[in-house]
Amino acid sequence: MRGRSLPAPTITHILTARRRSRRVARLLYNLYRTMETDQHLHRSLEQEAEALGHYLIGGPIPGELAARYAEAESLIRDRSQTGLDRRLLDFGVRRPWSIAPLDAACALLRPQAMLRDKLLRLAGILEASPAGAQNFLPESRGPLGTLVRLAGIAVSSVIQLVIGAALLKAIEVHAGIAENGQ
Amino acid sequence: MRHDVIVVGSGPAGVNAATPLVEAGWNVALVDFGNRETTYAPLIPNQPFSQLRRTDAMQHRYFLGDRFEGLASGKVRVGAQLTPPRQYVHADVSQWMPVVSESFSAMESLAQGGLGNAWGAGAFSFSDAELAGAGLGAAKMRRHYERVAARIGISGTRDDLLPFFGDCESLMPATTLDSNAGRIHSRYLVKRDRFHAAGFYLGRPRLALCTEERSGRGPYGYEDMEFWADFNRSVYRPRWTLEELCRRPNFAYLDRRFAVSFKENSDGQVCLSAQDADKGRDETIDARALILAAGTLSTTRIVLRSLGQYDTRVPLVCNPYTYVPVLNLASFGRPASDERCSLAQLTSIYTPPDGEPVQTQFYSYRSLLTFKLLKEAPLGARNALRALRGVMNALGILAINHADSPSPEKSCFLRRGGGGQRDQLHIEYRQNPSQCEMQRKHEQAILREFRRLGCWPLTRVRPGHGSSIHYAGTIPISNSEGQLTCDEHCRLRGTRGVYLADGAVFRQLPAKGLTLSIMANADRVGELVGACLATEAWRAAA
Repeated sequence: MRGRSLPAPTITHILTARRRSRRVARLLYNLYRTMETDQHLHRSLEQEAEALGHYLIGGPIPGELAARYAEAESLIRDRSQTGLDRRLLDFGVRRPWSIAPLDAACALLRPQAMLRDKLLRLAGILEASPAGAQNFLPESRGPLGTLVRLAGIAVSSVIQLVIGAALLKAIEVHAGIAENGQ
Repeated sequence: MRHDVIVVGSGPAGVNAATPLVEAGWNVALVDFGNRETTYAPLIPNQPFSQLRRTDAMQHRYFLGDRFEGLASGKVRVGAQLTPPRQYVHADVSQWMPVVSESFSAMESLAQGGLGNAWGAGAFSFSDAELAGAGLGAAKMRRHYERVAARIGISGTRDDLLPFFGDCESLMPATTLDSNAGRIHSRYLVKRDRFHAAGFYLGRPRLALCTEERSGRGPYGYEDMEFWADFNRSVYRPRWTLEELCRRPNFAYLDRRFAVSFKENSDGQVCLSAQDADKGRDETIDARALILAAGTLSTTRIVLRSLGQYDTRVPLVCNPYTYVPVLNLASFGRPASDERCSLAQLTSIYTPPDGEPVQTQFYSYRSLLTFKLLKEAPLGARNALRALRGVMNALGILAINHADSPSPEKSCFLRRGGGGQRDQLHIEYRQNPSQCEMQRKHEQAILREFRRLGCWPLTRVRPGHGSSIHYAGTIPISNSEGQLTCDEHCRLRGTRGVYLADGAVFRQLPAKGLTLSIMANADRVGELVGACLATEAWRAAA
C-alpha cells in the first residue's frame, strides 16, 4: 500500500459519510435513551419493592431481593393493568402507610388488583431466600397463643378494611374524574 | 435392528408394556418425543425442604424458576401444581397437540416418562367390580398388579382399606405418618366402629415409593421434596424403567420423534409415521405389532387420524375432582415433626348407600411455598401471612375423586388442521345435574366424617373438568364389534396388530387414581402381544 495515494473524496462520498455518521449517532442516542429508561424503570421497581416489602415483613428488605423483584417485574410485565391499578399502586408506593388498608380492601373488593399481584410476587421472592424465609415458616405458639394472635389479626383486618375501602373509593372516584376530564 | 414391536410413549403405560416384551426377548423400539429437564435438577441439593429454605442462597432458582415461572398468578388451572423443576412435563404440548375446549382443561405431556414425572404416586388397584366396569377381567389383572408392584415398589399398610385395595405380596412398610395426619388417624382408631357404621374407612395410602432399598432405589429419606426433585429415586418415575430397558440389547429408544399415524401393510407389518421433533422431517418405522401408549388423548388422536375418522365423536371420561383445605383442630398451635413426606398421608373411602365408593386423599400442606396460599385468603397479604404461619401446622388438603362413566355430554373429536396447522382435538365435557347433585351429597357426607375427626373445611374448590388428569374411555374395550373400540386383548378393532395400552381402553373410571391399573393393563398387553408374536412365529415355522 505504501507509495499509493488515496483518491480525493467527492461530494457524494462526503454526503454518504455524513448520513452514515448521523444514523450511527441516532442509534447510539436511542440506545442510551433505552438504557436510561431501563435504569429508571429498574430503580422505580426497586423503590416499589422497598415499600411493598416493608409492609409485608415489617422491615427493610435486602437490596439483592429488591433487585430480584425488579428483574421479575420487568420479565413478567403485567399487560392487564388498568389506569386504576396504576393509580392504586402509585398511591401506595408514595404513601407507604396506605398499603396495608388498600391491600385489605383489595383482598375483598378487588382481588385481581395489580397491587395484590405485585405483593404476592414479592412475597414469593422474599420467601425463596434464606433471609426472607424466616418470615414465612410456620410458628407454634400453643393453641391459646395462636387463638389470641388470630383474634388480633381479625381486629386489625377489620380496621384496615374500613380505612382501605374509603381510600379505594376515593381513588376510584378521582380516577374516574381524571379519565372523564381527558 | 429389525423391530418386532413399536411402543409409542415412555409414560407409565409405555415402559410397562415394553418391559414384558423385552424380557421375553423381542426386539422393541420405543418411539418418544422425550423432553427432559436438565436445568434445575442439578441445582437442588439433596437436603430436606425445611433446611433448604433456611440455608440455600440459590433456592430462588428452583423454587421460582429462572424466568420466575413459579410466580405466575391468576386463576387456579390444570397443571398449577407443577413447580418450575416439573414444568417441562407439559412443555411444547400446546404447539404439537392443540386442544380446543370451553369446558375442559386437558394436561398432556411430551416429556420422557410422560405425566408420570408429576405423578402423586398413589398406587391403587381396582376392585373386581371396578375392573369389570372398566372392561377388564379381574382374574387376568391380579397377576399383572403383582408384577407391576414388584417392578415399581409400593409401600402401604394392611389396614381398614385392605378390602378396597386388595393385598400386595411385595408391599413395603408405609412412610412414617406426619404429626398432623397422625392426630387424625389416632382419633379415627378410637371411634373406628362408629365411622364404619357410617360407611367411612380411613387408612394409609398405597404409594409407589420405596421405603426400603430396592434395585438401587430408596430408601426414602423424608426430605419432603417430592414436588421439586426425585432424591434417591424413592418415588417411582417411568424414567427408571426406561433406563433399565435402555441397557438391554433388544431395546431401542427412538426419541425426538412425534408419532403421527399408523397403517397396516398387506405383508402384515404395521408402519408408524413419525415426525422428527427438531427438524420436522417425516419418517416411517416398521414392525410386526404396534402398541399405542402415548396417553389417552394422544392415543385417541393417532387412532382417529390413522383411520381417517375426523369429526367422529368418541366418548371421554375423567374423574371429577374437588379439593378442600381443612383446619385440623388437634394440630392447632402445636409444633409439627420435621420428618415428613409431601405425598398423601391418609386415604379414606366412603361407601354411600346410593352410589359407588368415593376416595379422598389427605395431604398436609407444607411442602410448597406459603405465598401461594396468600391470594386465597380474604385478608391483606401481611395479615394473611401472619395468620397462615400460625395455622400452617394444622392445615391439610382433602383431594376428593369421584367416579365417572360415559354419557352423551362427554366426548371429543379430531378436526383436521387446515393450512399447515396441526389437527385439533375438540373436547366437550359436561356433567348432568343429577351427577353434580350426587357428588355434592357425597362430598357433604365425607366432610361430615372429617369434621368428626376434627378437620374443619375452610372452602371447597372445584378446579374444573379435566383437573384430575385422569382421562380415559375414548377407545374402550367392548364386547360388541363397534368401530373405534378394542377387543378384550386391547387390540384395536379392524386392525391385526395395533394394540392400545393406556387409559383410552378403560370404559369407565372408579373414584380412584388409575395409574397403577394402567400400568398393570399395559403389562398384560405387552405379555399378550409377545404371546401373539410367538404363536405367529410358531405357525410360520410349522
